[in-house]
Amino acid sequence: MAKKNKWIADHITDNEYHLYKVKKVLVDKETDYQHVKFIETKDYGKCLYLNDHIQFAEKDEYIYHELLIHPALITHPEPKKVLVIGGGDGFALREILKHNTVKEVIVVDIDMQVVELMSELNGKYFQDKRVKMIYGDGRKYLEDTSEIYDVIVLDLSEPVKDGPSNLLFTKEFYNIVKKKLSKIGLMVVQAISPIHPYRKIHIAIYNTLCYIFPIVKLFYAYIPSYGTEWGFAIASKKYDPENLTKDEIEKRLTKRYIKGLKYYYSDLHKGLFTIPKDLLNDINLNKKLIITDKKPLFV
Amino acid sequence: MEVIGKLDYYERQLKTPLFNALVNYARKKKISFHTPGHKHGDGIPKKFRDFVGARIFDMDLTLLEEVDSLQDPKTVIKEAQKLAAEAYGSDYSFFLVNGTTIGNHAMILSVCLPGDKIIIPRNAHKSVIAGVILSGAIPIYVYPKIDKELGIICNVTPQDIEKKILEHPDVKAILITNPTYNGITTDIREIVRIAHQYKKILLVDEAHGPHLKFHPDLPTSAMEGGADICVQSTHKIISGMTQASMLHARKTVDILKLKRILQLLHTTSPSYILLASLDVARMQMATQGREILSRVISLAEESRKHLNNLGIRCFGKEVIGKEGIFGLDVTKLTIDTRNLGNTGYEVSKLLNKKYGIQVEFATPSNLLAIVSLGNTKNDMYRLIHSLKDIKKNFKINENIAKALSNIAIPEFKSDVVLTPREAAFSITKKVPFKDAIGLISAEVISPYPPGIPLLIPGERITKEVYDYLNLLKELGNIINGQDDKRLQTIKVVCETRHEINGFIQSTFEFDKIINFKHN
Repeated sequence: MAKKNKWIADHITDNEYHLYKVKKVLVDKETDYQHVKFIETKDYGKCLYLNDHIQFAEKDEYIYHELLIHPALITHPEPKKVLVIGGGDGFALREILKHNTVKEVIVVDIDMQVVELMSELNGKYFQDKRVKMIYGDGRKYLEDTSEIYDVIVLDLSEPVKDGPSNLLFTKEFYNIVKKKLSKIGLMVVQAISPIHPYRKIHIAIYNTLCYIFPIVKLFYAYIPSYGTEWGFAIASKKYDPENLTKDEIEKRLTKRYIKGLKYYYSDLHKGLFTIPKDLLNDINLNKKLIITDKKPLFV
Repeated sequence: MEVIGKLDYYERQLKTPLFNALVNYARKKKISFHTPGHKHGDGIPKKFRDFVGARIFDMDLTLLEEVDSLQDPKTVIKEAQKLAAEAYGSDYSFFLVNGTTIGNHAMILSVCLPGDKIIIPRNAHKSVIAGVILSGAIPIYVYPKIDKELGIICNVTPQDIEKKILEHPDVKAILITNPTYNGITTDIREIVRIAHQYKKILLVDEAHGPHLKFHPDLPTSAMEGGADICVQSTHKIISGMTQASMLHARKTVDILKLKRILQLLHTTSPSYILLASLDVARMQMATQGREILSRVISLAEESRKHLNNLGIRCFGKEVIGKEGIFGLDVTKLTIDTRNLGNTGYEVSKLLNKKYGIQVEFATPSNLLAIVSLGNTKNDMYRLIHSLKDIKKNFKINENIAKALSNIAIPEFKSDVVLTPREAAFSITKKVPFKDAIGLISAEVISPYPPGIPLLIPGERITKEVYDYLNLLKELGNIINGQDDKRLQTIKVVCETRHEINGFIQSTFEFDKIINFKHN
């Protein structure tokens, strides 16, 4: 009986939790960087929790990962060299490799134990000869590398106090990202949920990106397993994702031989960047909110 | 776990089956009663052998069981070609020993029957024109974009290709040159998409792109882009020896026919030294290409920056996005000689004679320096220093500057009377250029700049063309392609032995053509 009633909680705030009925606990351990739980749930299949925040659920991870990758990669006329910071679970990589323009993907993740845990699911994507996996601090990698990228994907866990991603949401870091992008390069970041308790940080991420990049576009999707709306941002040096025509998006999907997407398609892209009015108002009211190394923000 | 899959690839690609077979055979020192006649080099005159060493002749073999046959590969050549196909991402790869020339011939012959239409760039390499002549195909020309500011020919655009397909829906195939000599690429994926949408076969003359696949900072290669068939000069950019090229194909083309055509065109005595160099070049690129090319790219990029700082223009990635420039292979340094005060030809000569530097080619306005895996920092320093020296000592030549500002393509349509094949196999004669109006050219006439043929064999020398060429002559532009460099005479078609249709035949009566001249 006790087993039957086991639940796992996704910490939204101290006042709000999202509960999932557990079928089986696969992993529950402390790595060098974070607390990792890999749980098989009743309704959403296998789910990964880092520091009690859900990262993905097998059942609907495609929504998050297709949205994280395709709007950004389709906006670039020919993404050849892509860097992923975070993303050790391999799902973002799976989506990137669908673009046959891509000649090289570097994945930099700090937590080797998470990558190894996920290799059962996604190990084959890391075996692709275009892929290089580096274990280490994404910020340090970017500071040191002389490589220039077409697209940089920041698939990070939420910034939590003492978490590994804190200094990857700041003005100083985005400036480094910008320097390592080609003249027509762009970056995409998961920009956490825009729901009320997170809204301040969500807007701060947007403002911080706007401080560094000429073009910044927010977009959202409801992700059932998160039980909430989720936000993403594309920050671009030249191409505005909103300016792509439906025809051009379809052409790009065809010529890159991208088939079998479950969520993303041309019409979705066209409507993706329209922001609800309350959010626009809140952005206007909080224009000065910027995240810096000295003043990071946490959920 | 993730490493295992990749190790398989690298372990396989480290193999050089053909090269190893040659070395093993050479080491056995078998007594030779077979060709080649020099018998392990023992019969080679001393001064040749002393210079190159004796060893190379041990590898100069002929068709023997141990080293396989290029005409019908079954063992080590087959294996080497398979590894090349894996490295380049094709379904089939073929080693070539007569350069990309034979590859261009074979591509066209395997796809086009006599009378089939093929879209080709107006400035296609002469081996492409030769392929058209051999096949009897009808060329439909697409003009590449020209950039007056840079003084170079760019690439063709997908839009222009689509327009040509709509004008000629019965066209069988499209051939593009990608990258161009100067390293400029078109949006090959978009051209593939268009070609396949209209069910056309896409052929790519990728002579200057055998390295593209192996570095993410280089443009997309033909096979990555989804082209049906391409030819690469392994010897031009990476470590194949001169004449060593590769042809890569997908199953979408008739592979059996392609094999047959290659057998027809290839020598039956291919050089095993050249073939082995292909095997080793592929291994080198597949296993170390990323690192080697990173070094080459940074050598080229640093030199480019240096030259521009000295006021010697050498364009880089900033030109991407201009019309006809979708991507750029930065290892090609196109050096603008217009502000060095002389033509590219003169600067090239000077570099050679005074500074001991030989560049790839020169045009009136540019020089092309190919930077590749054999170059060193010192080479780059010498080139930059020499150009700096030339710039210091020369003043702008106003006449040349004026002539070079006249880069243009006239807007006339070529008046095609005969296919290149009919013109090539006709009887020709030389006439004074001034008497040539109305006659059919048997020569390529290509004014520089821009270097795009104004006349191709089989096209009529109209009054417009005549006047335009005279104007260029007066301006002092260089006119290339024809026998008589000063263009005082021109070779024209006077009779064809081929069966041709009524309309064309009537234009062949020489007297009538002469009469036409008076218009």
